[in-house]
Amino acid sequence: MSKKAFSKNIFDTLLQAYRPFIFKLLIVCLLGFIGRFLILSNAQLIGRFYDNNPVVTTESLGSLAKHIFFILSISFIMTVIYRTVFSRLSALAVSRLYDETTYRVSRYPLSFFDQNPVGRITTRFSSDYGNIFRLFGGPLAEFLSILFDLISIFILIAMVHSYFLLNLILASVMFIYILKRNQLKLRANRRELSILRSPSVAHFSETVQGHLSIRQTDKSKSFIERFNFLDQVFLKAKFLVNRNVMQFSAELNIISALLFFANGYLGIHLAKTQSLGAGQIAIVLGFTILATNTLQMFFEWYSQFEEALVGVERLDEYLRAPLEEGAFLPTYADFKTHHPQKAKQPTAVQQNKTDDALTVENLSFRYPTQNQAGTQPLLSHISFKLKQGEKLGIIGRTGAGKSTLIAALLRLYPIEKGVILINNEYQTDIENHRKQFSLISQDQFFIKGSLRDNLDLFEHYTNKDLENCLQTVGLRFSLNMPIEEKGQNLSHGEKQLISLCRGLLQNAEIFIFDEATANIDPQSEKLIERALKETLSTKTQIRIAHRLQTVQDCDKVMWLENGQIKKIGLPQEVLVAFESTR
Amino acid sequence: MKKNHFIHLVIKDILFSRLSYRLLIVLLALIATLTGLFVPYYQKSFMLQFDIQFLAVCTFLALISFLTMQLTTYLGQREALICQRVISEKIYKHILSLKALAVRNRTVGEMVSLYTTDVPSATMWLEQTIPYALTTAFPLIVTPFFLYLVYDIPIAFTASMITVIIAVNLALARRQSFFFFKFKMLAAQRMGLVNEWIQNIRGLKSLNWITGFEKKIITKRIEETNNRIAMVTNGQLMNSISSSITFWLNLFVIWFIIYISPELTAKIHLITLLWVMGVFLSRPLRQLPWFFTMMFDAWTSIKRLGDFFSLSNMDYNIKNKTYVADENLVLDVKNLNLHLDGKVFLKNVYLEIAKSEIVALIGPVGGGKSTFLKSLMKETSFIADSLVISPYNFLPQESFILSASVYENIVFDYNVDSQNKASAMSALQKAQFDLNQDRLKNGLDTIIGERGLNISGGQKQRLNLARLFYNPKPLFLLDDPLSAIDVGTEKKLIETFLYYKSIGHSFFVTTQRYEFLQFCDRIVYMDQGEIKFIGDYKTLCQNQFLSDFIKGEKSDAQIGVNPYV
Repeated sequence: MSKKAFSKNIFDTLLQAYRPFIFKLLIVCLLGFIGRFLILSNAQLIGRFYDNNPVVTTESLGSLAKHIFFILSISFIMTVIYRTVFSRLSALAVSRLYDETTYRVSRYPLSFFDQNPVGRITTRFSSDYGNIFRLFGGPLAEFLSILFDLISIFILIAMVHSYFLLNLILASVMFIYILKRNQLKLRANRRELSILRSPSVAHFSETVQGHLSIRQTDKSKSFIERFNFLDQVFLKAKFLVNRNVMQFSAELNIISALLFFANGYLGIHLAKTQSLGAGQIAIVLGFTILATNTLQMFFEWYSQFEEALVGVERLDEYLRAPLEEGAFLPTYADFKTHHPQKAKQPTAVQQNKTDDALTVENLSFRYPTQNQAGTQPLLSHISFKLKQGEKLGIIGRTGAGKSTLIAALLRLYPIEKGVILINNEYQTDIENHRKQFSLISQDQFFIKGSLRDNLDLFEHYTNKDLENCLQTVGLRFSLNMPIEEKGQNLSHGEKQLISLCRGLLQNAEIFIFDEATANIDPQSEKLIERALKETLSTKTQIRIAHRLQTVQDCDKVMWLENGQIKKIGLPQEVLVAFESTR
Repeated sequence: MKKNHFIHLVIKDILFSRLSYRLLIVLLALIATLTGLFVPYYQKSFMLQFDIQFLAVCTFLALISFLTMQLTTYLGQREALICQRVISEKIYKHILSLKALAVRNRTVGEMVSLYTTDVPSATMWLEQTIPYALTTAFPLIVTPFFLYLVYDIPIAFTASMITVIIAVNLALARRQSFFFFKFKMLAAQRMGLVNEWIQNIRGLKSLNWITGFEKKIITKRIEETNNRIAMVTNGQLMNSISSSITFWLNLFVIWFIIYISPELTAKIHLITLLWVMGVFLSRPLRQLPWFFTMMFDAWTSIKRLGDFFSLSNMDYNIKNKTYVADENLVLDVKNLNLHLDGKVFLKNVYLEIAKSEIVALIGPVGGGKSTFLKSLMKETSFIADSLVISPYNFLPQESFILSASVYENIVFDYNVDSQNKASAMSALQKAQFDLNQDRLKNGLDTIIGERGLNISGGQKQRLNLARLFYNPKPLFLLDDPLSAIDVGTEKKLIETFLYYKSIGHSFFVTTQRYEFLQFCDRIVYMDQGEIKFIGDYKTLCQNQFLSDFIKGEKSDAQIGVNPYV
């Protein structure tokens, strides 16, 4: 697990994120360094003054105060500019990572989402991004500022006498040694900690959702034990991290104290042999203590930045994974990651309306997850043609491939063999392909919000349009009606009617009606029946049926069995043949 | 009870339990500060005489000060973790005891954030506030006295300077904690969207709503970033001030000497002054703004925790507790009523269910069906003349899956031994869940749920049923058990119901699947919290209103007045 080096990609990725701001950032960094150096050189000023003025007078003190005031004011303004501008730009830069990752994940193949639990994907956007954002926002400026301080202190101490440099270098070597020794251990601890976090959180959130069931089955005691166990494991890991950090800090402190002593001792020697002033020595000792404080902070941040880099690495992985076939990044995606991207000026889409609405030729399909050679594809040799306004019914037993056919028609997964043409054309861009279809199903997407949000999430239509549409399908709901999470307060039929509305609004050409469970309240059933026969009478339709009466008035009916067409033809013929095998 | 009472309880847990350890933290912090204070004293002697002995004492004191400070922080962290465990367990237990009505208006995410965010942030008082309070406050208090005693610089002058610094820091920190609060809220909202996006990616792709939904997430992200930018700007201002304030203090003292008390000029020892202002105060002053920010942040979390603990259940009231029902009945409820916030949810409900009976509960959405089931389980604050109910199994409307193996999900317990796997398999079969056909490669040991394999709504529902069949009780209370199940499976499930009926179990089932009604012994129609009809399928079909209702036609007929009485 504990990879030592980060891949080169992540630095490329960071560079891409910071690209628009690099010039400004370099300038403010320069300001920041000068500012910190000047602030710290104040101490130098006082030390020298002390050595040069054995008798302090009000006048000499006055000129010192003027100097200090001047330097302090300038350097303060510089550091404020550096810190605020840098942090703001840095926050903007890393948030670009977020957007670019979102554009890509949206366009991943569906099989990716089948294979990865939701939690695993969302942590990239919660804790990984959170870590990056938290650290690259403010603390990066602080971290660099600490670095500026250390460099300045190094220079300022060396300016007193070059012998001190020797002590400093010696101490630095020891610091780096201790860092290296602790780094791997801490990194491993931190990784383990982040792994142990999710089980207890997942368990907690399950309990919140299922507290009724747990209480009703008298399992509270067992669940409390489980929670305590998971929480304890996590807290123990956290404790271990704390202990190791403390040990690390203690080691650093001991080195710091040694450095203090060494510099003091060297000071005594230099004072006697080279008559170095007490003021100068005081400066060195003051800086030594300051340097150790600063160094401590430096290492604390350093290990946190490592954590953030792990986060960058994880987002980077998502930035570079392949998209689904036919997906194009939007024009405003800015990172160069070798993914296809939409043209800035879209070529005018020519809608040659031909008589053939949909042509499926020799379609074979299997899910990417069951890609073992030798197994039979879930769909094979499916060919059919639908003319404009024609209605096709599809029947077959559970597992015959009806739902799979929907997935294949929408190209939700890569198609193994064959081709799907709309208006006799193959749409390279998957979005243009899916635009032609409208899927009416109870499993559609519903969010907590108003009915209006659920019909027109992106506010393309006027209230009047939406109300008309609701009226057309016969739903007597107000647009402000609240919809609960996953549409829990809607009946299955109502969900189908709302998804019908969505299709009408987007003016799709081909309506696929998925009668998934037949579990429909009778009121909605009537409305859907009417919509299929009247409202959608001019549209091309594909009806996937559970109950045979759904397909009786279709122009043709396809009987699927084991992923193949058993029979296709006029409804009466196919239905009779199908019934006879029951 | 008052909210404040619960806030006090949380504070008590944080500050006053394990009192001896908490006092030890205070003591250690004090030692760290005092040893730190003696360093400049000996350094001055070292400076005057260049004696190595004084240097050694200095080094030793500095080291002791560092290490005790370290120990203080460590102990604080340890106590904080212990305290987190205690509070987390209390939250967990409280959640298990709270009934649905007490927690309505609170989302799952809000409750989870109590555990993930508020608990660690509340214990910041132990982890940071107490140790830092001393190491920050003590030097700030001591400095004016020190400067007065050594150089005659008036206490009022230094004290007022320090007061100004504290006031500025407090104001900035208050602002910072406000941004921080907003940041947490915005991040939670954005994650709500991200969850929706990933969970519904299939739907979004087939709707072609990807681009639009992305924009929605990114709009939220921008709002979050903007708040964050305001927050870092404020924070960086705080940092800029705190990391240069010591030099300003130096300057002010020098100015004071020049312009106000020139007679002090000869007395002043610049180097000691530099030490006090530049080194001794540097750490406390750097910590000061963050100390306040954490303190404010912890306080909001403590309030939220107290607020949550103040939630309590309203009790139900059964007037005749000693009432004995006919032994042939599995359910006997008389005159059950539920009012809430002035609204009537259930009204004068009477119902009896006998052994080996299947009773369906139908009615319009929002008519009170689920509330009635919950009341039978004593999960609401109803009032009834009497309520007698046999042991029951309950199937919730929203399927509930543990992030655990299929087996653990059926047994509904953790770390169970595997001797009951055969009965678990048979329960699965009865629920029409076929491990092979449902593509669970590792059979009963397949891990499902949030951190395992995603399973479909239908699979979840059948698994929940299997949980009930694993340990069947005399009465099954099922809330819409057929909602996500396809037609073929539905028939087989009804056969399972009939099998259980034949061996003496009873069912009370809410449903929208009216083809199921013909298999029921009786059907109850409920609207606006009132039972308007009880009868068998034949009687129901004869009622014009009800037969229109199950056919989905708008009926002009009247249901009639309580035809079952």
